[in-house]
Amino acid sequence: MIDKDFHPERTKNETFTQDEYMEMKADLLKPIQHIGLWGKVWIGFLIAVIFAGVYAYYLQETKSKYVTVSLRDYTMWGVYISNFVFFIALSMIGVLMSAVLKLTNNEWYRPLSRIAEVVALGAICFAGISIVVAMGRPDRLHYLFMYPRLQSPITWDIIVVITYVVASMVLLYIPMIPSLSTCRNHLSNMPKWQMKMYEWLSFGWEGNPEQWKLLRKGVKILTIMIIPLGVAIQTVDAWLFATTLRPEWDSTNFSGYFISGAFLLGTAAMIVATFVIRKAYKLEKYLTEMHFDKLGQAMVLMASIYIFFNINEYLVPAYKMSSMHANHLIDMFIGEGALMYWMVVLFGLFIPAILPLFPSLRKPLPLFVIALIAVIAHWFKRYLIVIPGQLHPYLPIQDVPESWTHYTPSAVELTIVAATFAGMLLIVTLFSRFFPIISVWEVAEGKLEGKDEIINYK
Amino acid sequence: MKNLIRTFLVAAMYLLSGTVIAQDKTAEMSISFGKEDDKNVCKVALVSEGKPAAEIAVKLYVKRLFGNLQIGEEVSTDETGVASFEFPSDIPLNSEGKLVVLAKVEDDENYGSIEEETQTAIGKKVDLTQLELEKRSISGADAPLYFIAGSLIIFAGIWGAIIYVILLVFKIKKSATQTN
Repeated sequence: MIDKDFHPERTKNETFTQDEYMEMKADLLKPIQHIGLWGKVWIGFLIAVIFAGVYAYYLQETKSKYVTVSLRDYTMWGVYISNFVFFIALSMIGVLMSAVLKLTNNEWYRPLSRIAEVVALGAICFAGISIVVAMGRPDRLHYLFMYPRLQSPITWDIIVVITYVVASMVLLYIPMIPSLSTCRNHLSNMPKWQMKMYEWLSFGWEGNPEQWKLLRKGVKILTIMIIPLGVAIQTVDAWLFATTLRPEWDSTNFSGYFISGAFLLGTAAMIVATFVIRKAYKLEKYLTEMHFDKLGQAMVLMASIYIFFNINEYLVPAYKMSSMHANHLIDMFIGEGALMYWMVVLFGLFIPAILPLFPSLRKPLPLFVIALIAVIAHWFKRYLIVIPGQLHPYLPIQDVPESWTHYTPSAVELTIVAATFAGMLLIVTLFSRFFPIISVWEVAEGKLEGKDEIINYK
Repeated sequence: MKNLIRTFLVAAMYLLSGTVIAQDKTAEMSISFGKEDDKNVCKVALVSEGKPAAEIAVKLYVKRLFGNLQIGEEVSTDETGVASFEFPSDIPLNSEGKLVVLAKVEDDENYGSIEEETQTAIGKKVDLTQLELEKRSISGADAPLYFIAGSLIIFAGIWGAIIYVILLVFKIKKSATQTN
């Protein structure tokens, strides 16, 4: 069923002339040259949401937190932390698209890798911000660096998040050097500062063999390194929970559960990002139906693996139904959290695992709809992992205030969460406005299929 | 007026009788340690107005970090005014090699509450040398050395690679100026 369709992109031996190369460059530089009205409205909207978030944070820090946020003694980690887990999972998109596919010679990664890396960078930056927002005493943030306790998962988290941010930035930047030189040489009518920025960032790139050799070496090292780093960041994130004494987090499978969930979310988010960028910048020639077909297949695989881990996480404890797990599980299966739980199972697990099995549903639009629903479901999935279980502590206290036994995020919390999303999307949007969102040389190199060297094209 | 006087008298009698019930005598308590049949015995003696106080329930405790550990069950004083407790010899002593022992009479109808405290060296000396040697631990304040070394090796490996790649970028610039 999967390989029934004929894909000309996969079977044709391609090469191109210098003129065609120039056309390719012109196509891929076009989004930088013109911002339409809708583009401006979109950027304005994102900035407005960010300002609303900044104001909400100002309220949170100046008024009593007991009033502005819904966190209490039981639910000590609320929507900020579930949002953090979501962004950490989303950052795995870069690992999957630019490292796993590249190292396994899946050539279709080429036009997707930069999109994935930008989304990953945006996600990891706002994951970090989500943690700071969740801190009760942000004025003591520097204590984490001054008095780190090396055995604490919190310390590992700081180390691994910072390392991943830097590695993602370098991995995004290095393959972009030839593209920046292309911008410098081919763009005209741009503001002076923008041209100066390309000049400065292209680091004297002239495309000589020695420079290509150095560039490939750097990319190779980072590509290999980003995989264990990606696994490490998900694992530390999972261990933050697994090493905390709450029954539903008491799992030896947690890191595998988080990694597989991150791969599924990454694939779904990639489909959404590819669809939107393809439509907004009219890049149908480069982001083809073949890419959606492949991403759809990848989503089926990732969803199947994630279903397996979910069975481990829910059905094994449910089979034993120990008193510690029972409260939480019954709450999820038939209780207060049941509606959200089963919606997530349906839209976040089964729909992405089953529907893309049909080739007609791997076309861009239907796949985009499936993926978008899956991304939303996965945000709620992180909410379900983090929050409901905290309402059932190991040592329940008698006569606790009513507000401890329920958690609903406050308006302040939701505004800040919305602002983190706007911030992440603004990074991706602005990046695509100033830099080629598809790597020209990587796409061209893919089309050459080894018959010629990209160095020969200027 | 009659009613008022009656109420006053009833109240006064009630209060007076209450005081009598709560505490009409005072007693002095003393704690001593001894040995009986190779077993350590703690004796709590109660003396009231020079006479032994019999049939008084006494509880014995040892002070621990977060509260008092009760030793055995409640024991009543005999006709000599002494309550005998078998005292275990395996309770870990504090850092000064002592145990703080408390004897309590709680809410007795004649004597109210009485408490006496003393110290003893009966108990187990804790050998802290091993703990001192293993001061570094995963659960402690300082990480074990192997843990620090392992973390630093991983950290240096990853950051070394990142810095090396950043240096490659500068090399790219250098190789351009050479060709120019």
